[in-house]
Amino acid sequence: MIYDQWALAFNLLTVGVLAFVVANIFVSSVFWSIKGKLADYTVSTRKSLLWLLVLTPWLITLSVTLFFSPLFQNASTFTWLTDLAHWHHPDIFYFLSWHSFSLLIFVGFSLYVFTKKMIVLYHNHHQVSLLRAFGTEKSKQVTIIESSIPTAFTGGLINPSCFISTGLIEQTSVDELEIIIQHELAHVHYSDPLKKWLFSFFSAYFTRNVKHLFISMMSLSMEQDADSFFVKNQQQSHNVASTLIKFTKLAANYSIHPQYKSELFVHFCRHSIEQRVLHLLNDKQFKPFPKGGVLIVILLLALISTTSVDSLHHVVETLFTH
Amino acid sequence: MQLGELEKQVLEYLWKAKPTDAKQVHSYFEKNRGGSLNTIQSTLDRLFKKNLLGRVKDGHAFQYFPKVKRHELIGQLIKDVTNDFIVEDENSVIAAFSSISSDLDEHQLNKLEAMIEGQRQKLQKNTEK
Repeated sequence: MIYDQWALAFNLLTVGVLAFVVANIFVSSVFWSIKGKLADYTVSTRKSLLWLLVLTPWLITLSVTLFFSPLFQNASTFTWLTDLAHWHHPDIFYFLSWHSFSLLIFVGFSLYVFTKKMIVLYHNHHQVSLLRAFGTEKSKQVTIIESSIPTAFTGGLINPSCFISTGLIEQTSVDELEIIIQHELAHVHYSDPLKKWLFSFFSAYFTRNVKHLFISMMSLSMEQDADSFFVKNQQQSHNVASTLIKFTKLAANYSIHPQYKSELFVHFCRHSIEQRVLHLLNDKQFKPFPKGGVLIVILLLALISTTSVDSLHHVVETLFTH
Repeated sequence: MQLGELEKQVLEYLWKAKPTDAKQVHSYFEKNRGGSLNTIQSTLDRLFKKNLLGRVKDGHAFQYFPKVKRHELIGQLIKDVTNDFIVEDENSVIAAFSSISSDLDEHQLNKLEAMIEGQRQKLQKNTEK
């Protein structure tokens, strides 16, 4: 058992963990109920909404923790709210209690996720470095790799660059190749590899189904954004769409990941390619960013999380001993 | 695994040459870029430790040879680096134009292709009007 400042710090961290859990459940439910409607928004809006969804539990955690700190608990303006949401004995922290147990689980899980993501980062950095070493620099951001596998991708987190294989160059026309290079340069422009990595880190805190859908939607949105990065007219849209189909047909002949030829994967890909082609051909009007709706949901979530912390505290201590 | 410039050059040389010892590698590089025998020896050793070279003892010296072919190594690197596109929840660190391993229904792709062609013709007709 500890007292004073350290106890306060640990108690505030526990408050943060509880708020995070509540916010996470709330965000997951909201996302699950609106997932079908996200396609009605522009790609950039969809990306912003997805970022907002994965970051909201952290923002709520920060604000709720601040609210429970003496900074706000002593302020007279918030008396009605502090009556509703407060923390008992904030200056005493028991190590052998559910407070410390929940804190330990959260810290342990965070360390696990962080280590896992860092290992991925480390491996990817070296793989990309090796590809750069064996490739030929076409321009500052484009590297040609000698391989019969028709491929094009953007890799490297801090210094991203595009990789185009000789197999792809041989099997595509000059115009098609230019479309593919422009698409990859768009990923470099948006720093997509770094954003994808960060997004997958924040998504890791959600349940498996929600996490998969988050990542699939973000990947699709990034690809759609890159597809239309340099498209100025309908003619160009058609050219990008047919290049995408041609590339997919080419790539299908060089299946190098046979272990993933599962039904689920085929559907995911089909869905993805279909979505991208339809997005390029579509000229429908998309909805603007739903500012009002987002603000209401965030305020509601902040209120629910703040008040739930105390209720959750009472529920746990009613069901179990301290 | 990271490769320095000399390591890359030595590997490229060994991909073209027969199994060879440090002295022979040194005599080739001495003419082209300079450097001591010690530097070449430690470079070969590093490549061996990185599992890119194999070696067999021949008298007092080791004969070095590449463990993987150039296209195999690059193919493996492409496979590793693009793997995240499929295992989408794990290594999401690259952005690919299209998945390499797409095993899509040919019929589905043809349908999409026909749709693009249809739109193209419609656009052409509208421009001609």
